[in-house]
Amino acid sequence: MKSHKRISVLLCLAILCVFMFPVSAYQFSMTNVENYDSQTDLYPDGTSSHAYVYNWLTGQGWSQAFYHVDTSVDDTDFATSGGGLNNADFHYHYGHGDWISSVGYLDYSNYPTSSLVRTEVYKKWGTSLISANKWVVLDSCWALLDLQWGGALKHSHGILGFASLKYSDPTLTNTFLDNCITYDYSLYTSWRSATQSVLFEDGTQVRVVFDTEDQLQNDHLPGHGTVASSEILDDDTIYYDYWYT
Amino acid sequence: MTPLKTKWVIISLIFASCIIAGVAVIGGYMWSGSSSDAITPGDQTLAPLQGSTEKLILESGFPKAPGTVPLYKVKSVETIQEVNEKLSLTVKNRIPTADEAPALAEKSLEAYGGLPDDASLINAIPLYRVKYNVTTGTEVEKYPVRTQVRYIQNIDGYPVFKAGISLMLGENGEILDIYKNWITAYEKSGESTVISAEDGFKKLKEGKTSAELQGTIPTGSKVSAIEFGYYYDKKSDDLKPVWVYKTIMGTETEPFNLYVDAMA
Repeated sequence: MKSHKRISVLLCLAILCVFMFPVSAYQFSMTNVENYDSQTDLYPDGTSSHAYVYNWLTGQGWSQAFYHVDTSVDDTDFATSGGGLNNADFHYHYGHGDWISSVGYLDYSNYPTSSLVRTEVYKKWGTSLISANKWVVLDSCWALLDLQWGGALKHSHGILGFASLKYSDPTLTNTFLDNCITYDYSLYTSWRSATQSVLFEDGTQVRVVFDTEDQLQNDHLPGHGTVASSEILDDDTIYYDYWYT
Repeated sequence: MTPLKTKWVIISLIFASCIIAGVAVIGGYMWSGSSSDAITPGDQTLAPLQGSTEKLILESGFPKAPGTVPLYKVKSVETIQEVNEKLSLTVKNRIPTADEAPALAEKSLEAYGGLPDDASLINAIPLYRVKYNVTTGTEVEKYPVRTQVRYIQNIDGYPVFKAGISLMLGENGEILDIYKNWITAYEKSGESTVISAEDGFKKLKEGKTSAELQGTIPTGSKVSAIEFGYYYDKKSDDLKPVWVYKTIMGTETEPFNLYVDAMA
């Protein structure tokens, strides 16, 4: 009888811990490809971007799930076989992108030998309603001109990125997170405002892709506003907005 | 202490630790100040391009180079950044057409001191939200959201890239977002001979852009216009002479600015 009581108490404590700790469960991850075998090196811009992501989010109590650089970045980071970015609420990717025959690529360091295409991640981001991942930033050229990247969103909420060429500038990362955290702007507004400010009048086409319109309009970083609910039944549709710098 | 009491002390300690840790973590989330530890990236002059430039098709003639031009140091800039988050994100009944938008923008800019005399219109683009089916690869519905109007500043009759006004207009031409970087004072810091637009194009084809691109220029991209102007480098406050190769790429209809250093 006594041992039953003890088990009950321990169970209660465990449940309490579950409710106390979800906040601490927020995690981010980053992939940074800034040194290339046969393309222009982007170093140190990716490193600087990571410093901004790390400092802003750990300052908010988040922890880093993983940070992979150059040759250590591969398909598994993008959840092609489960895990990867699905273990983090927010993923930031920095590197080169390409667009060939209407297909958007993320270039790995030995590109064109290795790259990521959207077919490899189709329905793989947020594989279940309890998957951590909600948002992915693709800070590289071109990927979101190929709207099939939106097909990666199973229960994840959104992808922020570009549908054209863009110039590399790590202050974009800083301004974006400053908008999210200091000004409590939604992720969409934070991205729009940061890209307008940093890439001012370069002619870059910027895009956001969300699984639902509610997420597009209402998602904020946790602790800085609302987060819309995840889509329960995947309807194979996405919403996207775009603008020019 | 009896074994039973010891167990309860341990359980209480675990419970207290959970509360302390939880409060600490929540406290971390509640903090919303700026990140003072953010590392400032190394100084760059003009941003580098992230891609190759060997696949360009020239559809524009080469303009005559201006010979020698003054160099300038920027002394002051009027910066306005305002965002109407709620109105900017909503779907509208209608938005201004590309023809209607410039006049509406000029009227709305009166609240911000009017459109400066040295501004020229880049373009106006109605922007839509699109519901898209990823299985069929088709647009399901399209909703009007806002119309973007962009202006560029001119100095000595030349466009100044990175100095201008970008507006987002709502249903009746009201300003939803405004981003203004307007140079209000500058002084001469020297002069420079300008290379020809042909030599600039050679540099471009060799990948010598003034800034690093994060991607590749697709095969068949078309240089639709070539302009001489200044590039406002915020980090150094210099106005740098550049050739700008306005290039249409992929399925895009709007040109992307490829900047090439024009100083001899």
